Amino acid sequence: MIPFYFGADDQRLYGVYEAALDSGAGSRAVVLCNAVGNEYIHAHRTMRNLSSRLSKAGFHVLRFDYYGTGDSSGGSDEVSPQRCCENIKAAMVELQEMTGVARMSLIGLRFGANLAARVAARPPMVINSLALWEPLVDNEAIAQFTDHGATALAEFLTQESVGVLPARTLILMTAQEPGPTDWNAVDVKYVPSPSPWLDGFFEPKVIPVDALAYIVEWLKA
Amino acid sequence: MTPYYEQIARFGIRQNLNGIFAEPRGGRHTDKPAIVILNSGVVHRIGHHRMYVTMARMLAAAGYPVLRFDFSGIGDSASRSESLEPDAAAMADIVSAVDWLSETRGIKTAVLLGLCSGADIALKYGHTDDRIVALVLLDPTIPPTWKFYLHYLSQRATNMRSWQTFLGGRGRIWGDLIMRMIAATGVPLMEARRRLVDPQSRRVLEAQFKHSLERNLKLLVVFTGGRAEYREQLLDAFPSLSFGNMLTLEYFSDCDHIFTLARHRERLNQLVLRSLQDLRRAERREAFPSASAN
Repeated sequence: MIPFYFGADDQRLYGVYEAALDSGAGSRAVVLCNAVGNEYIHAHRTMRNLSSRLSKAGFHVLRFDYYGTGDSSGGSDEVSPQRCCENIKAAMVELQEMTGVARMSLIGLRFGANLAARVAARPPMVINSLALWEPLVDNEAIAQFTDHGATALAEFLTQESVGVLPARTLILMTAQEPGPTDWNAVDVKYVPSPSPWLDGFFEPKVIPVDALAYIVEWLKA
Repeated sequence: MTPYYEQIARFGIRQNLNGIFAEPRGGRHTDKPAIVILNSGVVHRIGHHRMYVTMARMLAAAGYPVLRFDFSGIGDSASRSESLEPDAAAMADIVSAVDWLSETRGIKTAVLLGLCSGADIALKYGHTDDRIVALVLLDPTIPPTWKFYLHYLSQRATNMRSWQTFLGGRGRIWGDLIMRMIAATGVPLMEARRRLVDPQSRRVLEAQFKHSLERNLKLLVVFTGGRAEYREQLLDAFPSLSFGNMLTLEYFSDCDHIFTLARHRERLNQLVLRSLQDLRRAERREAFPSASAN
C-alpha cells in the first residue's frame, strides 16, 4: 500500500496505490470512486478492504480523495461534481502511467457511483468495466451532496446514460432490492449486505463481505 | 500558495503507520511543540466532518507543525504484527509518532489532542513521556457525579416521555444504578459502562489526571453538550485533585459530540490555537524569567 499525492501542486490529490499481487488475473487496473461527506468517512474501512481484495485478485488499485475531501487539497466548500469527475479522470491517467495498464475499470460507491457513470459515458475515457454500488437515484438524496446539477445527475444515471455506459456495467444494490427504476439493459444485482456508508457503521468487525466478494468476482469474470 | 505544506508521514514497525504532517512553509519550527492528533474510535485521521484536516491546516498556517495519523489497523495504517491489546498498541503507536517527529524533524516536544477515546488515550499516554507538554482532551471519559444526575433529571423533568421511561425502570439513571449494584458484587461489566461507574475505573482516571498534574502537563479540556451535563463535572468528579492554573476548562453547551456545525469547529480551532500560544508564552517565561519580569 503506497500513499502519495498526485495532480497539480496547488490542487494535490491524496491517493493510495496497491499493486496487483496475483499477476495470474492479467494486467488490469481499477480506480475506486469514493462516496462523499459523512458517507465517505463511514465507508473508508470498507473501501480499503475492497482495495486489498482487488489487489490480491490481481488488480492494480488506486483509491483517492476528490479535491476538497479527505486528505486532498481544498476546502470542503470547493467540492463540485464537475471537479470530482475531472479528478477521476486524473486518477485514471495516474494509474495508467504508474502501471502501464490500459484496461481500466471504475468502481463507485453511492455518489461516487453517479460520478463514475458520468465519467464512463463521456469519451475519450475507455472503461472496460463499471461497477456502481448503490448509486443515488432520487434527487433528494443527491441534493444532500451538491447544489450543482442535482436533477441532471439523477436523470442522467437513470435514463440518459443507459446505452452509452460500458457494455460491462453492473449496478449493485445491497441496502434495498431494485425498485421501480427502469434500468433498461444494465445488469442489476441485489446482494443483501450491511450498508457501510451509514452512521453507526463503526463496529470494528463489520465489513459487507458478500458485497465485496461479489464485486471482485464480477470484475474478474 | 497555501502558507502551510503537507507531506505523507510513514513510520512505525516496517512503516506500518500512515499520517499527514503539516508544517508552515519557509523552514522548520523545531522550537515549537508539534500537535499530534489521535483517532477517535475507528474514524480515520481526517476526523468527523473533516475537522482535523481543517484544524491541522489552520495551526500549520499559524506556525505550528501538526501530525495527524492513524493508529495501527485503522484508516490507512496496517495492523501491528505482534498481538497487543488495543490500548497498548495505541500507546506504542504514539511512541513511534513522537519518535518520528524528533528523529526526522528535530521537534523536541508535542501536544496530544484527541476526541472521546482519542482523549482517553492521550490522557493515558501523556504523563508517561517527557516530550509531551500539554493535552487537549475533547469529551474525555468522566464519571457521572450527583450534580450530573440532578442536572440530567432537571433537564428531563418536564418531559412526559422521560417520566414514563424513568417510572418504567428504564433510562440512564436506572442503568447506572444497576451497574453500580453489579459492580459492588464484583461481576465484570461491559467495558463502556464500566469505565463510567466502576469505582476501579474512576480511580484509574483519577490517577491519570494526578500523574499529568505532577508532570506539569497543561490541560485544555473541552466538553460538549453532547457528552457532559455541565461545565465543572470534571472538577466535581475528582474533588481530591487540585488542577489550579494547569487546567483550562471549556464547555460548548450547544455543540454535539462530533462537532457537526462549522461554527463549533471554528471555535474549537481558535481555542486550540490560543492554548498553544499561551503555552509558548509560559515556556518563554520559564526560560527567561528576568525578561518576563521586566
